[in-house]
Amino acid sequence: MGLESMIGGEGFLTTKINDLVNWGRKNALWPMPFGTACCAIEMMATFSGRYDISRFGAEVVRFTPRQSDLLIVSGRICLKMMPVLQKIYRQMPEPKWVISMGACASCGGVFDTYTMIQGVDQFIPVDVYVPGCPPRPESLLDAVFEVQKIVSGEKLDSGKHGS
Amino acid sequence: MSDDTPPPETPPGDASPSNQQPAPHPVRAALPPLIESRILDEVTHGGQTWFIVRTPDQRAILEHLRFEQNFEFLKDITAIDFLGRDTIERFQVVYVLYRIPDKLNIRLHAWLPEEVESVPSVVDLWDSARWSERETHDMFGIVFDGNPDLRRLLMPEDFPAFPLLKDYPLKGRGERRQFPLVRPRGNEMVEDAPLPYPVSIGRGMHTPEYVEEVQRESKPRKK
Amino acid sequence: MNPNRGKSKAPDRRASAPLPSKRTLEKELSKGATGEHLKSVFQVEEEQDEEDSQRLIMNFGPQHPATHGTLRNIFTIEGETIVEADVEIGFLHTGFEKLAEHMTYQQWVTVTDRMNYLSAINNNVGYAVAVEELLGIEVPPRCQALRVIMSELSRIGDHVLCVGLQAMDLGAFSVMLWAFEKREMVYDIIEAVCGARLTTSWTRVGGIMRDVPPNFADEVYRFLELFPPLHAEIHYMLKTNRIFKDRVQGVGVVDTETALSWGLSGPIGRASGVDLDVRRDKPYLGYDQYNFEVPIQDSGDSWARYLQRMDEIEQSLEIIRQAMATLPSGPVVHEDFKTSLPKKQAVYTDMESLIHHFKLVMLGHGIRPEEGASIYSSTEAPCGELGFFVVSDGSDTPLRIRIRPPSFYNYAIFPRLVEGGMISDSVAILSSFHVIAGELDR
Repeated sequence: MGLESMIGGEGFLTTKINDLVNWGRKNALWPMPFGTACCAIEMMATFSGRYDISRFGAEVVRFTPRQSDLLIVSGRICLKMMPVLQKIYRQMPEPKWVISMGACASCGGVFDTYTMIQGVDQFIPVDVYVPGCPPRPESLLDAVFEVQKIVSGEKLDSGKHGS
Repeated sequence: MSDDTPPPETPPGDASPSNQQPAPHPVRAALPPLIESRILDEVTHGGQTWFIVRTPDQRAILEHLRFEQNFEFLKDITAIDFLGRDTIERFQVVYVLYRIPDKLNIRLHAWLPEEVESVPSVVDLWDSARWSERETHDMFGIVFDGNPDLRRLLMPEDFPAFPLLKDYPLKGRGERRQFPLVRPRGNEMVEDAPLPYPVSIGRGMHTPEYVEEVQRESKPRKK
Repeated sequence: MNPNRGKSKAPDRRASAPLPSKRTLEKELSKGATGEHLKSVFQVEEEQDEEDSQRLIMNFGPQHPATHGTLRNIFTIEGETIVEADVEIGFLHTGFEKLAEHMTYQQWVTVTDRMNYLSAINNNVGYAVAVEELLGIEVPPRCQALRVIMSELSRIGDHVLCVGLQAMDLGAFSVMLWAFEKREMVYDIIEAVCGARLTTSWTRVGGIMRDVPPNFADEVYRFLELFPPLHAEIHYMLKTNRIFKDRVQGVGVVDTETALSWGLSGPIGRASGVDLDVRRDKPYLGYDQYNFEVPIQDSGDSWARYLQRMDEIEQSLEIIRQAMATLPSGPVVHEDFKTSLPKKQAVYTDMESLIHHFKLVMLGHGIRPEEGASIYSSTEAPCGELGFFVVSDGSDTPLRIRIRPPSFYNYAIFPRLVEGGMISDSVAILSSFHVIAGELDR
């Protein structure tokens, strides 16, 4: 965060740089699909030909957390998988955003049982929730737009997550 | 047929009037009398037949079925928990077998008391038993004696209970809440206590203890 | 209860066994144990020699692009060769069977969708067939034919996706995109009929949700025209492809004896010569009226599994053609409204229908099979033989439902197959097995 602290303040130059950086970030989100169950299939359908997500910039789907900035948690997360999810979340570099796709990731969904985590937002911070079981690919695209709106409202000097 | 009298001397399939049962099942008829006498009961429903025995008699029957009667395909091993119901034992271990040439499905239900240490394993007869026995152990706590690798399969290794027992509540005993909240603060990731979440009680999905716990934990609504 | 119940008596064979706790160590030391004795007490392995220092324990999953679903493979590798393999599953365990004990028979249909999520209709149908056998009822012929058509469409979607993912794992990414486009064609029909693309919850015990829309026949015939050329295109792309063939031929060979002993069924079993097909052997839903072949291969390697799936797609198309040609008309739910809901118009006007509706919808009344009855019923899912073991205790919730998952038994043999091979071969084998984690872990 060196550049922003050097320039500092809310002058004309910093807002323009803000806009430029946010424009670049939101139109080139690199998703990290964390697909476990049925929602993963709809996520794959979103990445495929008919509901193309790469029209909106999110084309580079890398399965490594170190190179991505949008974590899409799709599918049900159970007891054994939660530490894995947290580890992947920690490995992603800042700034990062999380989409919780589907009912199971957002709130436990149909399954209120002994192994299901009733919403990943208890254990990692989530930015956008997508309802549906599974959500249609258009809903996931809408979620990506929401994330883009969030990204375009970011400010460089205050940092994403505050102090 | 009751199990305290030895089987009659008449050969199987004899349709004499003294025999009250119809012709016995071909699989049962082909079992040697020593093994066949251990069968407690034979039930038919919906076109399917199953035999009921007690543990550990099922091992001898399964060996015979595998080698002499050519049941080469073990479809499944599972268990049923009858806690609270009026049955002779608590558990029943179920084996589902299939014979390919004449497409015959049979089942073997073996009553298993709670106090019995272990059940003989059938891993040397069919390899598909390896994972089914592991899973039955994981879900019910039944130990299969002779399985070379009896660890938990679906639950984490240190999970404290056996989920499919009837006295384990559906929503668990709080194991699903024991994770920290990982969030970034400044330049690093910190761990906090997890956020509370709203609890709803579904029909029949709770035990009395869980209801009390929920009422203790839930906050009063703001006006 | 025995306090030692559930404690494993087998030695801990995991790649990284937990170290003994400090307290046990101190206790042993205070008893005067020496180094050698400690090693035998805690079963610590011997120090590895120079040669063994080349061995590396590699973790493959549970989050990895090449794993289908959340599976964890732990390989001990020496260079590129896998010396020992172990798997860990359970990363998607949801407790379906426990849920069944708290839901009624009709409510649990929604849960069955989420098992094999690529072909949800097959799971719905399998469960409905099981409970109908338990109750001893038979659904009308139109319902049977419609269930067959939708199951076969769903099976085509599943096999197409399997082949696409197998190709993607081996590098042919465009084939996966084509496969997804074909799957979208199947989704269009399923959405028009069931209302949802993926998790359909379409069947009910005693019938199906509702009858098909008026343009159903047109849609299906259009699909039957458009599909075969695309299918031929994918088949041509892969079967003459030198790279694909070299990577999958001779890899992961399972012979018939092993396949029988390990309980493999479905396309994977038939690719190894196990001649089992529930649709032919124990016909359900009127499958005996349709004339179809059951393809079988005998080489048992990944190439055979690929060919088997492609052949099965063609047979499914044949079944759909025959079923559409002979589709009877009539009701789609079992007429005795003890299991399925009567029509809304009848509920509003007729007293008896109102009573049936009330009893089916209010909890505690519903479908109640005989006490003590149990049934094991199997259907042919795209992955193999899907079995449901339903035990009833006379009330409206089952006592126990056990799902016999085909992927579970298909995957159990995987560690044996990869030992001795290379890491890239393990990817080829895993993608040809196409385990679906939702079904594996339930």
